[in-house]
Amino acid sequence: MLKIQTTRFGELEVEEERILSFPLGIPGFSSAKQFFLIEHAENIWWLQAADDADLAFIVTEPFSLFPEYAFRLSDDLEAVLQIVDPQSLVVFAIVSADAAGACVNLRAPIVINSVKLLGAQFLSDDENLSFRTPLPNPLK
Amino acid sequence: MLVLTRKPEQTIAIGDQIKVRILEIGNGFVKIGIDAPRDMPIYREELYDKLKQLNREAAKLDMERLKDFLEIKR
Repeated sequence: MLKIQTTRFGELEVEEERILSFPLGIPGFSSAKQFFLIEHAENIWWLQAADDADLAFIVTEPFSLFPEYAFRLSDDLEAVLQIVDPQSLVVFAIVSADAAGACVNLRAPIVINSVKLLGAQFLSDDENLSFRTPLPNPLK
Repeated sequence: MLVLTRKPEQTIAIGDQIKVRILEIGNGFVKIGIDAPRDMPIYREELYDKLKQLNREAAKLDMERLKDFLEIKR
């Protein structure tokens, strides 16, 4: 068990195998390289940095909310994530909010290789995917 | 900033691992080919800046604010 300090949740004990390495960090926060997931509610999670107590994103699992959602991962991200078996991938999307309501970033999903415990935020070239897709309310 | 003049088909080497080649110059655009290590992501800067800005906003979102917009079932 690792003891991890967080601003929002205090000191947490986290199993080592829950720590995900983000070798590239997350754009805007490239110095945070380790994260773990905290389940908050039905399909709402916190992606909390293990090496930056202040840094946490609210994330959701997009495929159940948007059954049509699909993206093609680039070769460079496949290499970063050391992907062998696509079945080992888990995808989350970062939630944001503006005056109009809650949105999710489908243009740049968080992709995790759950076998290698590697993660990255993938910025897709697909202009049909929106940085701010409105979230259904309530979440399914 | 280092400024170099290149013609189509000419290349710039950045260290041993990165090559930037001018492929085509058109009317108001330049087509560029980049060879870089496979695990080095390359982005259009304006998109990457937009993503950084959105991530900084998203990192400030707290659950109470989200509840203003979304019914969250625990």
